Amino acid sequence: MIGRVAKEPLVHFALLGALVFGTQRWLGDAEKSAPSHIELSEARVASLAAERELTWGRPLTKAELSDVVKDYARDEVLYREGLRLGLDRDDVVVRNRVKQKMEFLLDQRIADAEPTDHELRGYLAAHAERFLVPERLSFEHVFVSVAGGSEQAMRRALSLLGELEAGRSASDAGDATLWPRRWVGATKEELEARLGNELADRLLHVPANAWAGPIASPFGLHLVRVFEKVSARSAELDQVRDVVRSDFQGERRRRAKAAALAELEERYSVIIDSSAALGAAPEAPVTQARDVALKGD
Amino acid sequence: MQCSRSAFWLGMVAAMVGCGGGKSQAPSPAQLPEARPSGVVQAESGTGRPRTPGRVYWGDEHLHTGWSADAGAAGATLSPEDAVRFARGEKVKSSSGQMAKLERPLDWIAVTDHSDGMGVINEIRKGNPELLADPVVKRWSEDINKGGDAAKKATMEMISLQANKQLPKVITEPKFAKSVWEKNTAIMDESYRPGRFTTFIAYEWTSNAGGGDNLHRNVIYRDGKDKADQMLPMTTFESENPEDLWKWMSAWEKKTGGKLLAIPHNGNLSNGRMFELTTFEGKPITKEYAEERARWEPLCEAIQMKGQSESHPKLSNTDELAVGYEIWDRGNLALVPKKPGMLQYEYLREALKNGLLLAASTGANPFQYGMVGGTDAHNGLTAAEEDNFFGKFVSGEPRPERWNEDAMKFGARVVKGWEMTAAGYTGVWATENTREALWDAMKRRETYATSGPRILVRFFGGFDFTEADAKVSDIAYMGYRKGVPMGGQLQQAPAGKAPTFLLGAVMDARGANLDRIQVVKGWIDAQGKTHEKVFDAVWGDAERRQPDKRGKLPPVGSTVDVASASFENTIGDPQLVTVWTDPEFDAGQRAFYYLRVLEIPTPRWTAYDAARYEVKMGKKVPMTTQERAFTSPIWYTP
Repeated sequence: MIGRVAKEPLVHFALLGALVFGTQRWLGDAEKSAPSHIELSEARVASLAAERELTWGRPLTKAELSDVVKDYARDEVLYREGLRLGLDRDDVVVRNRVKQKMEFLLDQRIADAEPTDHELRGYLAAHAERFLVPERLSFEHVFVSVAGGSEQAMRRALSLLGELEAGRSASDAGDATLWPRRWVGATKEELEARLGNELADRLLHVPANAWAGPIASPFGLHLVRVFEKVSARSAELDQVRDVVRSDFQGERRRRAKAAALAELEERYSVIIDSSAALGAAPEAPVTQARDVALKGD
Repeated sequence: MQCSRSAFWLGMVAAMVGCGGGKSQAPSPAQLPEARPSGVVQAESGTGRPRTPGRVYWGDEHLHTGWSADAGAAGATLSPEDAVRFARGEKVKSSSGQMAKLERPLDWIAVTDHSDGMGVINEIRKGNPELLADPVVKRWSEDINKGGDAAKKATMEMISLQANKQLPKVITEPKFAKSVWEKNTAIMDESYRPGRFTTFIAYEWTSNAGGGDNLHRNVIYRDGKDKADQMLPMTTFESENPEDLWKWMSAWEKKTGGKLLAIPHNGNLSNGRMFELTTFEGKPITKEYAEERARWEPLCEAIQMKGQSESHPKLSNTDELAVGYEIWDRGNLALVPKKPGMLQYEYLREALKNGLLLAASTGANPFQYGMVGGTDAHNGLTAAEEDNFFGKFVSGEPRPERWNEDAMKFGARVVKGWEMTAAGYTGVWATENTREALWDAMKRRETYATSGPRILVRFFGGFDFTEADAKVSDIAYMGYRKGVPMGGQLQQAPAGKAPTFLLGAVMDARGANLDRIQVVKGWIDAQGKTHEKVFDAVWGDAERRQPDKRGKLPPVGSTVDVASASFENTIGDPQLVTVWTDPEFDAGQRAFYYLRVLEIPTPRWTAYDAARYEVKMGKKVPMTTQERAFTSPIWYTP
């Protein structure tokens, strides 16, 4: 929005006017007579053009280039006048932007260093549980709705269970549902997110290759037959190399950044005026970190 | 790199459905009947995917981090990387210092920081010969690539030299600048886990025309960094006209061979401009304009933290369930007040109706929008539920005072904290959790918006659904076999037949029972006048709840105890399925149909805050809500 306002010609005009007259009055004749040059070197023009070309993916036309240069020169006038008035100071957007650039600088430093296999193996071993190939469950599912009353539903489910055990096909058994009839290779995480913790937990504990149930859930009653269960196992590096690499790099980057930041902080001492309303404790942060267990999404 | 990664994850995940074979599977193209029922048009498909979608993937198509200038200025410190980690279920420390973790991870995320702030920064680029010609820079570069202490030392040396103005001139040259964008795309590629968690490369183009008329669009990339980096995102410094954004998208696709789509949002804050019946420059809408808009904008955000843009009770004056539901109608984004006549060009339902008119007059429908939901959170935390609402800005993160503070303030015009909406998410019916599969599903509009809960919703349209189809044990199989899914199109009804819809919903496993499913129909009559009507298609407690003599279904009731912020699932139904036939169908009239699914009343986030912080809120503050889902429409063309 700020950028937008800054582009409005009317705003420019008003601002320029205010700046010209205002600064003259504030700064007096000495400043007024100081000549100001805005030089646009060939390299500068080329880099302005390059940036704009990167947005449009094609070379600029002559007219466009001329606009870019004119815009830049006009913006530079405002920018310099603004700097002269100290408008960059105490501006939360400018401050944040500069801080962000600094963080990028600290963060970028080791981003490109490629970790060795040795490092990755060590990381994988140290965090084996995070990279587990998870347990997977494949099962057939028959749903019985409780819409007509739970007792009647239970009777129907039990009778259906008998039929399934006697060899009835599951493909057209039970009531309408939006859940799939066959689930293949589902993880605990997936089942919990979609079916709820209780049903997921029951599913993970029914014996394989036999019809089980009825299991009650918030949706209704379920009859299930697990036909494949693959236990969790630890991964080989080659199976999870990219994930391990990404986590390893991320952690290394965060650590390096924190260390660099700490080193910079050592160069400063923070002195807070004792008359400030802060009281005696200069310790940030204001809000204590606390664990919020979040339910749902 | 990506190949090996996706091969591994795909092998592991193999999707929960659709890989097992056997006759209980959703049909493969080979199994689909050769001759489709007459009048049924297949939804357009990006790739001609071999399987039908068996599973809904949950995500947020609209999230800001500290890298957005406004979010950073408001105290957001989380990076896109933090935002992704939170969305996929990891614990992060919020900008206000609170530890936060989603109990249930999302399946995908689009981090959409504003393109306007994404400038360029200077840095040493690895292996750049011009830079490395400088011996000092060369040494730094080598040290940096060694990592660890050497890298840190080099950085510190650089900082010190800079302080003394001894920095080698070469590295301050603008041409060595690297954009924030490239950094963003690197994070998205690195944290992409095909088959498990999808990160989209994305940005928001934030056009505030005329001082706050919200014409914002989220641009979502189907492709990875290699293509995304070939051009910088479009900014509003270039243009505020959406047509120029579409031109940019077209140029990008042409250059890279990749694919993009844009999602407009917050028509409710556009002061009559989001769905106006002229172009941005006030010219009449032409067929070319309509085709371009429909091509680039298949979806629209129906709900987010700044209210819903689906319908307004003043426009839909017989729609009782639209009344008082998360309405932000006082002004535009700068709270410049609305004038009479603006509302009708701000809401999706009205736009869908006007789209039919424009289709009739120009030959193409510019407003052929499917529906998605996002948070638009500006603190990097996609927490859209009532009981975990983490606010829009950092100042709105959980605190006892947040309900009564000013969320937005322009002079005397204020939006209060309690008016924030804890919403929303998008459900995508896709064949697998990859950028390609999810994006293709978004492009064909097989999506729906929710106010937060993960309600499962299916919606199929055709001419041959019968009541028996709602009784089969896998309704999706029948749905794809005999019709088109949400987002699809029906044409030329066979003589004597009306559109039939196979539809259903299942409650969120951790949420509330369902009140009802409604079909929202919009159409134009022979005189070129638009109409709408909301039908109750199927509802909970049907054994004791029936429409009265005038056809009005009694309310479902409420089990909410505001004081303890709790409710019970003793009313409503966990699942609703039916086949609904349009009772007022006229084969000569253009129409659209979409679903609105309603939960039973539950505590609003304000009630959870009141109970947790033991605060008493003003009478105006709503303490209960009826959460809902909106599907993409199915259109009928004579």
